[in-house]
Amino acid sequence: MSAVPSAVCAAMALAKRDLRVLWRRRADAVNPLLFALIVSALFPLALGPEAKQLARIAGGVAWVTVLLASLLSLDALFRADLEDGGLDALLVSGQPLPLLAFVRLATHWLTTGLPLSVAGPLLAMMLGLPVAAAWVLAASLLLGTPVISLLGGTLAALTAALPRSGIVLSLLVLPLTIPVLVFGAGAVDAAVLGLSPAPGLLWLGVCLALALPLAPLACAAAMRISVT
Amino acid sequence: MNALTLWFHRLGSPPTFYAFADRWRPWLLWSGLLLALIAAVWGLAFTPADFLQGESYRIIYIHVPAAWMGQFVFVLMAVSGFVALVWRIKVAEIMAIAAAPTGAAFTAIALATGSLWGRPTWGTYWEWDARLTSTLILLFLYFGVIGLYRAIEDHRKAARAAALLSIIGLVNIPIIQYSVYWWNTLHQPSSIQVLEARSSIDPSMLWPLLIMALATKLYFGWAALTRAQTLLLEQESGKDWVRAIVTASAAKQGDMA
Amino acid sequence: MTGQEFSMSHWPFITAAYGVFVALMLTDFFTARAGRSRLLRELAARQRRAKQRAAP
Repeated sequence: MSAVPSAVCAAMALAKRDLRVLWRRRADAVNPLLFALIVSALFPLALGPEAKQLARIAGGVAWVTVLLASLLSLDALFRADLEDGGLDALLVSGQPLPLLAFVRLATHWLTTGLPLSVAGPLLAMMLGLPVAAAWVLAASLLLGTPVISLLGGTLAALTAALPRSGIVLSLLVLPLTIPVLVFGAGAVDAAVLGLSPAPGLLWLGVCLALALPLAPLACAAAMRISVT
Repeated sequence: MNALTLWFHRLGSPPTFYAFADRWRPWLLWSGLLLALIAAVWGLAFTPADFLQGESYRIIYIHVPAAWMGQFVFVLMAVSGFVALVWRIKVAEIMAIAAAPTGAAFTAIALATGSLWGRPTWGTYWEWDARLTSTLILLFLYFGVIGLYRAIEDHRKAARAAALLSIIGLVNIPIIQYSVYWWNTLHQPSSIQVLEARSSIDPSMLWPLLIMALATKLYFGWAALTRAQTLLLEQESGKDWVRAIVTASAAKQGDMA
Repeated sequence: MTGQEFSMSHWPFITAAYGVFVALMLTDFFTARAGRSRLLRELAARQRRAKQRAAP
């Protein structure tokens, strides 16, 4: 009977710990949502309240807002652990690192991407997006925000050791998430125009299918590099 | 171990690599310049005008080789980065970073020349279609890799981080390549099919293009080896072989002064 | 393709494109070369200073 816990036990333990830490700082966890609300409000203020114009861009605005809001919480994803040695502990724990990385990325999505996927369509409807398109927006966000968490989290692991990592992280994450943005906003746009949103949603599915197995591996490699 | 493997192994040693670069740099630079001149003159003055596009198609002789190089160099960076990550070979780490600036330059050239070509032929300087957007992303990725490398103090850690980023960014290359087939885009599909020997470009127009493609590769060799030498000298500056080289070059400067 | 319908001359665009090409290639060339020479000079200066300190 080995004293080393199984990989699944370790994963559950990490998940519970991450969620507990985030719950203690739940005021901070709300920040991305507040940011999304404020940024969405900027657009009618800047562009004028003309309803048809706003409705036309509401899907794209929602997507950009969600992307930027996700960046806010990505920055701190690995920094605390790097500074207090928690990352070292994960590395020497003997547990499969990609699994632990996946847990970290998954809890990020649960606490940032998922709430944004719910808030996004509501914000877009406030800007005048028709309800049918709002459902497509919700679907695209549910497919796309995991990709943002997976990809963004990997890059956060890579930049965790840098002093001004927030800016560098944004410059790295935004170009790589452009395809997700294009597919997601494109699907909503198609719905608004009465066309089928299926192509955009399917391409988002492809991105997710690629990111799910590969990102944890890359994230584990990034964690190893950052710790040395 | 056969001769090729042995050669590769020896090349992994910094002083051997430095000497190798010294030997090949002049050849690469001069042959690249010469071929580029031949290709440019041939393409500008000695090929017939295109039936549909008129004269502006001549931009192809720099646009296409630059675009090819932008992608080719990124793949090279990612492969070298992979070798650096897995086997921790210093020379591989350095080659990956040394290649980046020239690759970025080629990508920028491809974007700019493509834009200038687009204005007289498509009527617009830019379109947010799949190939143009993903090539722009490629340029951002280059900046990201270079920026990440320069942001980290420890050279070896910086090289490994940049290597991982370039491997992640590798997914963009198939998107650039196949975007013109997967989506309805403004950019045309490839006229040159290497694997299937079925090119829709006229042979009389093809030669300057291929010569320029070769010229850009030779120049890139010079640029990458030069930057690699700079990085090697910097990172190995305490070693005896670097001291010898610095003394020798200082003596040469002294002779010429 | 409607190249024939445009009444603008193509040569300014061709010149601009080749100009961008030459300009960026020259920039790359000079930054590569200058970086290397600068480093060699700096290392030589460092070596001279070290020698002077060792045998004043």
